[in-house]
Amino acid sequence: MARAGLEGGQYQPLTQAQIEDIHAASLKVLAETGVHVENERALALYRAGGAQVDGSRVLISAAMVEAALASTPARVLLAGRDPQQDVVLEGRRVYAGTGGSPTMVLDPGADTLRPATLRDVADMARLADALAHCDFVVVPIHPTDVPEADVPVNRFYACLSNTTKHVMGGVGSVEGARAVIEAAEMVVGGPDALRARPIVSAITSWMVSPLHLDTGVTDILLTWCEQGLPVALSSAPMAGSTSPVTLAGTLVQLNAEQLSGVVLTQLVRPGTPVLAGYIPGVADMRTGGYLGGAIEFGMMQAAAAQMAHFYCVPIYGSGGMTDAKLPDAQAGYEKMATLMLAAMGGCNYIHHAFGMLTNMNAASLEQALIDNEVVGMAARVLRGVEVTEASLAAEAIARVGPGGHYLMDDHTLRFMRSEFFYPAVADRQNRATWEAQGKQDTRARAVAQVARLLERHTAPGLPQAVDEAVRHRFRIHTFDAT
Amino acid sequence: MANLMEKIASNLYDGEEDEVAELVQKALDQGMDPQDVLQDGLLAGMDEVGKDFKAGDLYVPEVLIAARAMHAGMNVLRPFLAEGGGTGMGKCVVATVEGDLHDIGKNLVKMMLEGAGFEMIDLGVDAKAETFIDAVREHRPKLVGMSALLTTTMVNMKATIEALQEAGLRDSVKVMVGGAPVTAAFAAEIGADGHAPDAASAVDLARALIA
Ligand code: B12
Repeated sequence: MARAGLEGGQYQPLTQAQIEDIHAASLKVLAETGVHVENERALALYRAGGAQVDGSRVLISAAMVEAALASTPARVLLAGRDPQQDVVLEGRRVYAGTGGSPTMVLDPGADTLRPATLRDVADMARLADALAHCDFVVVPIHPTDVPEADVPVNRFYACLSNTTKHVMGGVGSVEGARAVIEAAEMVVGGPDALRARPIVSAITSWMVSPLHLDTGVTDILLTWCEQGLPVALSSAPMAGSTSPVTLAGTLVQLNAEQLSGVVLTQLVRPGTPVLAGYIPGVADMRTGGYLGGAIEFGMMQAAAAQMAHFYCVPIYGSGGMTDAKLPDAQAGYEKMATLMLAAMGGCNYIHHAFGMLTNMNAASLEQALIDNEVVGMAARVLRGVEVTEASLAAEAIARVGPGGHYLMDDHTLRFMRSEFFYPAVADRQNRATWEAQGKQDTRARAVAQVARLLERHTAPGLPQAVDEAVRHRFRIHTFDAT
Repeated sequence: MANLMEKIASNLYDGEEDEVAELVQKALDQGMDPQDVLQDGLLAGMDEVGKDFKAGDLYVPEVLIAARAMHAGMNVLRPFLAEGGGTGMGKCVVATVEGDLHDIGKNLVKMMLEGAGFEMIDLGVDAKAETFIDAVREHRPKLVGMSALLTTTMVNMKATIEALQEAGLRDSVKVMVGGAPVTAAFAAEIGADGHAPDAASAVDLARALIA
């Protein structure tokens, strides 16, 4: 039994006609403007696939897009070490998890950042393992205390040994990709086992918007695709600076970028399980800065999900980001808005949803706990209003009759636990009790809960023999508590 | 002709590059001192832009378009200005350091400094220490600006400063650094002369460093 993955799609900012307009405009971009490619392997693949190549400019036809979409899987399994933690991306099913590669951490209760360590990666992964609404782990942090060459395999090791949920992340380099794959093969018992149940997948930020392929990351993308493992494409333009200022214009460019990437993945290896990674950021026109918590981000994320549904390609997106510096009121409303819109848009794989602050620049444990509640509330919305014979409660209404109450009725007892979302962090007590308990705000309560949770929740670890083998094969750095 | 100067300044503010060029030509034709045209026309207009940008009334694209108009005016004016034909602000070499491809912030800083009258030499992204050294030797700038967005490439700022030192060029320039993860403390630690958290304050910083 995989994780639930509730059905989204209730919020549809685009009409069918608008979806088709964006699709047509994107095809025109691909055919007339094209993408800039310097990577030789990618150029050769595009040329062989029928693209018109003029120097480093690659023009992609509608027919190429059609052909690629025909071989792109509509359903992608991202397995957990524990099969109950599997996520199955298809249709409008929605999952949310951690993400982002900040190199800074906001310690519990602190107001200044400090450089992140491998220990922080492990702690956040263990917390993510414990959080009920966190469906997967996108490696949540980039450690600064590990030599860069060792980072990829160490980040994945720190996550895999601390969670049984699926682990996805950037792999840094082609060598990093190979190391991560080899380590994962050791964990599951060989290459075939990993292809059957991919417990790891890669994010490749191969696109430098607008429409420009990064040569190095494209190498990683091609290497990963050749291995037949799931990959998330990621392009993250900013409306107003690296994509058009209008939401529709950004969607056109982003969609063209994603289609160019999907084409490439299918040219390397038809059938490659690929997630189209639409990350529709916004530039602050007053400073040029990157905005993660803008409401338009959430709107575009839902629209992007509609495009991905139109193509029957699973979508990797973002939600629950904020530009706030602390887990404060701004963090709360920006996160709720962007997460809810992405979820109600039916975005299949929402990363950045747990523990991110200052858009993509810092991670915080207590924020992750608060975010668990935000995602839980969104999940309740997706579950919707269940209308059944029993939920209509006609009998109960008759039983209680005018002027009575439902507190002791069987119907209440039957549904009261499942019908409502019960928050763990929100305070619902009366004011007097709240005052007597020290007048703690949301953040303070979350800090206390994180400490308790991390104390209780032990790392699942890897089987001893596997752990030893991995440590023997790779330079695994220590992140044990001191 | 205070009126003409005001016209130059206000057209510059509105980003009307053709008008600015024409008006500068007109001022020169009328025999006005090129230095006055620069100070009371172009730079006065740019100052106004800077103020309103900081106040949040003007947005980045408007500032960049005003800077482009400033350029158009400078192109007309340059041959008439004394030695070097610059604004007197001097040259500034900028680049994103080795290993780093993030250039949006660096480009913004470059365009803003250009607007403030600096002559910018852009070495692009992924610039090695030697690339900086060659450029400093060739262009003799007053300022060197380095940008880094990755914690892993911030160390290359330090390496570049050390390389400038070894090449005997460190004292000939002021070094400023920036990028999201870069802090004032880090700048001090690696021996840079200054740090600015955004493009608007980068202009203030650059002015202060050459003063
Ligand atoms: C856009 C972006 C990209 C684009 C870059 C496109 C481009 N042409 O620049 C692409 C997709 C290519 C990219 C790639 C990667 N990125 Co990136 N990226 C970003 C993002 C979202 C926004 C950066 C940006 O442009 N901001 C807007 C500009 C205007 O702001 P700014 O750069 O800070 O500049 C301002 C100031 O800092 C200052 N300033 C800047 N330079 C200078 C210089 C001087 C002299 C002065 C005085 C001032 C100054 O003034 C500027 C204007 O106000 C950030 C997230 C974020 N929130 O910052 C991540 C981010 C920087 N990227 C990150 C990562 C990890 C990567 C990749 C490694 C991802 C991967 N696994 O492939 C690669 C690395 C590629 C490489 N080798 O460089 C991390 C960095 C973590 C870290 N601190 O080390 C971040 C923080 C996101 C994250 N948490 O995951 N990225």
